[in-house]
Parts: sequence; structure tokens; C-alpha cells
Amino acid sequence: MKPDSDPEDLQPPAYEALIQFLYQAPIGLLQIRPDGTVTMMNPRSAQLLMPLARQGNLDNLFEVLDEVAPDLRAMADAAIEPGALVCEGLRMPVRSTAGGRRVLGISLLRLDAHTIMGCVNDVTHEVELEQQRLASRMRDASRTDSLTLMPNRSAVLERIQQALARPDASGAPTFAVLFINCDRFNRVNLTLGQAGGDRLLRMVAERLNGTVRQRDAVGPAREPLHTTARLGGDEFVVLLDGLRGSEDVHSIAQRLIDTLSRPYLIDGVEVHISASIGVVAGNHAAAEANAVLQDASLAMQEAKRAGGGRHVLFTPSIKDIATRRGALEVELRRALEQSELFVVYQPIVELSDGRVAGFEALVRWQHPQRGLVSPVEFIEIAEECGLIGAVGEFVLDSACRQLAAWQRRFGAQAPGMVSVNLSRAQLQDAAITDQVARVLESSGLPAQALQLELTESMAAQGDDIRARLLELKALGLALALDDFGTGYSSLACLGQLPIDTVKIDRSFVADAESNLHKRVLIEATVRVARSLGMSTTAEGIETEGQAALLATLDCNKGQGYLWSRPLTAQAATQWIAARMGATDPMPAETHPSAAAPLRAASGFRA
Amino acid sequence: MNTEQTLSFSNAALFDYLDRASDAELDSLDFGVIGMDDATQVRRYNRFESAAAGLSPDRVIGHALFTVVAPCMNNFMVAQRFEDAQQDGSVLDDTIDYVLTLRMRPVKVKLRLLARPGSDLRYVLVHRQT
Repeated sequence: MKPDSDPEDLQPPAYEALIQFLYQAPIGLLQIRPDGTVTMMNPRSAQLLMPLARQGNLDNLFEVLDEVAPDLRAMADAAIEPGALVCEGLRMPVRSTAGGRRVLGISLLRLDAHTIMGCVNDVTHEVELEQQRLASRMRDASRTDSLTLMPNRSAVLERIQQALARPDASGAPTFAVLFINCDRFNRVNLTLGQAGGDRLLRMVAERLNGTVRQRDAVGPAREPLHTTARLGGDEFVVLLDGLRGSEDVHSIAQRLIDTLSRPYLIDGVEVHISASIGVVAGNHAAAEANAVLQDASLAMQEAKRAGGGRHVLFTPSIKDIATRRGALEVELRRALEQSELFVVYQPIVELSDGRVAGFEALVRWQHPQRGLVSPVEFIEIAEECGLIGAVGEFVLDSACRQLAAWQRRFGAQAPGMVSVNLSRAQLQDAAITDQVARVLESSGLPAQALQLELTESMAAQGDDIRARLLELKALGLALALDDFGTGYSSLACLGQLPIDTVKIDRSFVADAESNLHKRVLIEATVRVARSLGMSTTAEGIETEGQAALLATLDCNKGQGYLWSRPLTAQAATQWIAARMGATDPMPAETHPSAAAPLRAASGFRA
Repeated sequence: MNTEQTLSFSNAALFDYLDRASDAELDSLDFGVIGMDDATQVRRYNRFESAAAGLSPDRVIGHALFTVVAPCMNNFMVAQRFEDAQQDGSVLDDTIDYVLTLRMRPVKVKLRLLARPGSDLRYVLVHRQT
């Protein structure tokens, strides 16, 4: 029988100590030949590698590791130079016999032409820790807004949900959700470019963080859990948690608006924005975080609608209004498709001789269930949801075609012009001039026969709007200032607007006979307008007395129930015919353009 | 019938024989025998094992098997089996493929692990396959 090695009593004691050291080392140590043959191996190595030994022997390392590290032999062949690393910390999955999965790490080092030294480690725990760290980083990344490094939507939703779930001992709302949107951010983005816009958003984020974190760490018994987050675009959310009372919400919201409204210096340019904030207080919070954000967003939109730069507290009625708006929007789209919109016409009369000067075209919506819906209600929605362009074009097109039809039919005695209202959104659309020109051309109506009406507040809106008005006028049409006297502009401002006609608001006309003050104002308006080369039209004339008074005050034209309510196209045709004293009026139905507007808007279109 | 000649590594009645055998009888076996007590101290160590492992009985007897003499067996495959059998009071008679690394050389062996309640000694038998 041949011993595995020389008897130990032939070895010096130091050798024995060394063997003991290698035996006990809590790391696998081994030595192999370049072909993988194991020449030395300590117990720890054997223990770690044994689960991989299919034939139960550990004679050749490359054979043992063939399945988990098939390239190891080639790597060893490649590392020829003494001192060269074959591999370092190469990881190998091992299914342990005790169950469970372990990971081994192996490092091999070329010592010389005949020897490779190695060590083997159980790195399972290390790998688990790494995976945890990675998972946690991934989780952080998926919960962070990359632009501002703020928590993102999913992170803030989670925290809102936590605030909702927390039982509230005192019964008082202790949290609030603030939905913040920058006013006029799109304009900034257009001016500064996207890089500038991004910088602005980062500055906004910094200001939000600075304002909320430093000052409002309230709630003595609990860690304050305020969260500032970015949802995307220019939308931010602040979750205020641990509030003392409802008063705090208002002061914090106002402070945020004040802070965000301070000028920003970007590339040497001072940029001004403001912010609109919708606030949901805990006591009005929905049960689910997403719904809370939606409600806060609705309140924010209310703040914007009210002019921006303010905060609005969410109440259930805001939601009711929004729901109705939403329903109306859907229905308005359908109305456009299904020709539920139609145009009515109210005569405008020369006060001096009672001749028909023209008609004002007004849009109506015959809703299949609600009946007649007021333009006041649906024009605003059309502006908000981008349908105003389609609605406006429909009215303009209908009106121009109708007047052209009347002019063909009644010749020289036909009304001379049609007046169409422009909405704010239409006027802000740079394409409006082209649109009007297109409609004039397709309807065949001369531009001189078209008058566009706008309100004072629309007209007094800066240089770009003024330029647009001049563009429109250059087409040859006339502009009228609607509802004069109800807005902020004064008589002194009239001269600065490219206006042809001033329409005096009905509120002045109504009691002009009894109210001297009103009468004086009308007189002054007429005189100033005349001196500026403008004509005047009085709205809302209901009595002969009012008509006579306005005539003596030198007002040019009038419209109102005295002559007629707004009429359908067909009724207006008959009204004109009757007024002309025409003996044999052609039935309106036989005239396609005149008959169409009552129900079929598409009949108007080319 | 000569008992010493017929007793093989896999003999079913080996435990009884080992408990009764004299040192000379153990030394005559052609596989390694390591006997240890309840506290894993080595009590018997035959000639075959001494020669194969290169360790004299003096260096081994009286020392803890799994921590001092053969740390390469201190794992769930060997030491843990003895511990479990001791704790459960159950009989252990398992034969496993194993690689010993005594003196740093990997040697493929079969180990037979023997233990039973009430017996003074437990045994690790080592059969070298090549």
C-alpha cells in the first residue's frame, strides 16, 4: 500500500504548521497544472467544488468546472506570462446538495509554465447584497424624475396613498396635495428652446424644494413627510404632510406662487412665469391617490381659468362642473360631425332711414337632449379643447355663404354686410387670416361685405394681436369692437385700435332714455368714434323710443328686438323679402343656400 | 472461514465487527478505519489509514476529527450527518463518494459513515478507489 504522501515524521515541524494553516484557511486554495490537473487543494476548495464534481473526483479543475465555466481552459492557455491573471473573481452558479443556489468565485493566477495557482470563494452572500443594491438603485431610478432628480409620479402617488391610508387620530386633515402648473411655460419653451426650458424647470424644482422643506417642517410628534415631485412637463406636485391646520395650506400655496413668480435668469435673460395651484385638502381627498391628483389638477385648471397666478381649493362642485364640461366636450365634437350647430341672423338697421344694413351671425347648438345650448356655455369649452377653430370656421363659412346667397337673390336691395364674432382663441391663432381669406374666396363674398367682431379685452392684447388685426383688415374687411363700455378700455384707447365700428353695449342702451349719465356716455362715444372715422352701432334696442333717441344722438346703426330677434336663415330670408315689400318672394326652401343653415351645416360647405 | 479475509468495506455487519475487533484486527483491514467518540475525539486509527494519509496514530488519536485531523470532512456531507444522527438518536450507515484532501492532495474515495445509538464509538471508513 502506497501512502498518499511522505510520512509526516520526516517533515520539519514548520511544514506541519503550514499544512495546518492551509487546512484551516476559510478560503479555497488550489494549485493546478496548465492542463487542469489538480496538484494541491485544501479542504475548503474540495468542499466548495465537490457539488460540481460529476464523477465524484476533483482530479482536473477544468473538467470539474466544464459546465459552469467552459472557457476557463482557453483562458488559462491565453495567460502564458508568469504572473498573468487567468481570471479574477469569475462567478459560477452552483446547485448545492443541501438545496439552494450558491455562487462560487474563482481566481486563477499563472505562476510559471507548469503551475497555476487559484483560490475559490463562496460569494453567494456578496452576490445577494449586490443584487439588493442594484434592485434598490433600479427602484430609485424608476421612481425619480431624471430632469430634476425629484420623486416622479409613481413615487408621489405612493406617498399620497400612504397619507390616505394613515389613520387620523384627531380627525382633522393633516395633509394636502398641491398640483402646480407653470403659467405661460410653453411660451418660455418656445423662446428659450428646450434646453432653456429644462433649465427653467430645474430652477423651479429647486425653488419648490427650498420653499417646502425649510419652512414647513411641522408636526411635532411625527417626521414631516413633505414631498415635492415632478409629474412631467411643467407639472409639479407638493404633498404637505403633518399640517397644523387648514390655514397652513393657503399660506404655503401663496408662498409657493410668490417664490415661483420671482424672475429667473437664464442665459442672461430675465424670464418671468407664474404658477397656478390646485389644492386638495385631506378632508376632501378621494380614496385613491390617482383620483386625488386628478382632483388637484381640476382645481389647478380652475386657477388657470381665473387668470393664473393663484391657488384654488378643490371642492366637489369643481368636479361636477368639470364632469359637465367633459360631457359637453364629447357632445360638441359630435355636434360638429352631426350638424347640430347652426347659425342665426339678427338684422342690423340704419337708424336714419330704417334700411337693413346687414346681419350679425350668431351660432346656436340644438342639442338632441338638452335643447338649445347657450354659446356662452359651449364657446369656452370649444376654446379649451381646441374645437374653436372648427366652430369658428363653420360660423364664418355659413355666414359668408348666406350673405352671398342673399346678394344673388335680392341684388342691390340685399343686406350689405354680415358681422361674425371672433373668439379669443381664434384671434390668437396665427392661421386666422388665411382661414378668413379662404372662406371669402370659396363663398365668393367680397371682403368689404364681411365684418368681424371682437371684444375690447381681446383687442387690447399687445403687439402681436394688433398685427393680426391689421392683417385681417388688409384683406379688405371691417372690424367692430363688441360690447363697448363693459371692458376696461376707455374712449382714449379707441384711437389706438384698428377698428371701423364701435358697438355700444346693450347695458347703456337699456336705460338711456331715463339715465342721463348713460345718455351722455353714448353721446361721447359716438362723437369720439366719429372723430376717429368710426361708425357706431347700438345693441339691444327694444323700443321705438330707444331707436329715436339713438338716432338723435347720431348713432349710425342699431340692432335689437325692436326689429327682430335672431332668425334662422330661412326666417331671415323671409324677413328681408317682407321688409323689401317683395310681392313674389321665392320660397326659401327652393334656394339651397338659404334653406340649409337650419339643420344641415354641411349643406353650407363646399 | 477466515473473517478477516471476507470482511469487505461494504459488509453489512461491519459495525459489530469493528466494535469487537482488536487493534491488530483493524490493522489487517484493507481500508481506512477512524473511530471517534461522542465528542468526535479520535479513539481508533488503523494502519491502512495512517499509511495512506501519512499521519501517525500519535498525531491523530485524542484529537478532534473534524477540526484538527480532517477538516476536509467538516461539512454537511460528513460531520453534519454524524451530528444529525446523534441528535435524532438514529442509525447512520451511509456510503458516499468523496474527495479527501489530506496533505493537500485531492483523492477520490468512498466514505462509509457508521453510527448507532448506544454504541461507544462512531466510524468513518475510507475506501481509496485507485
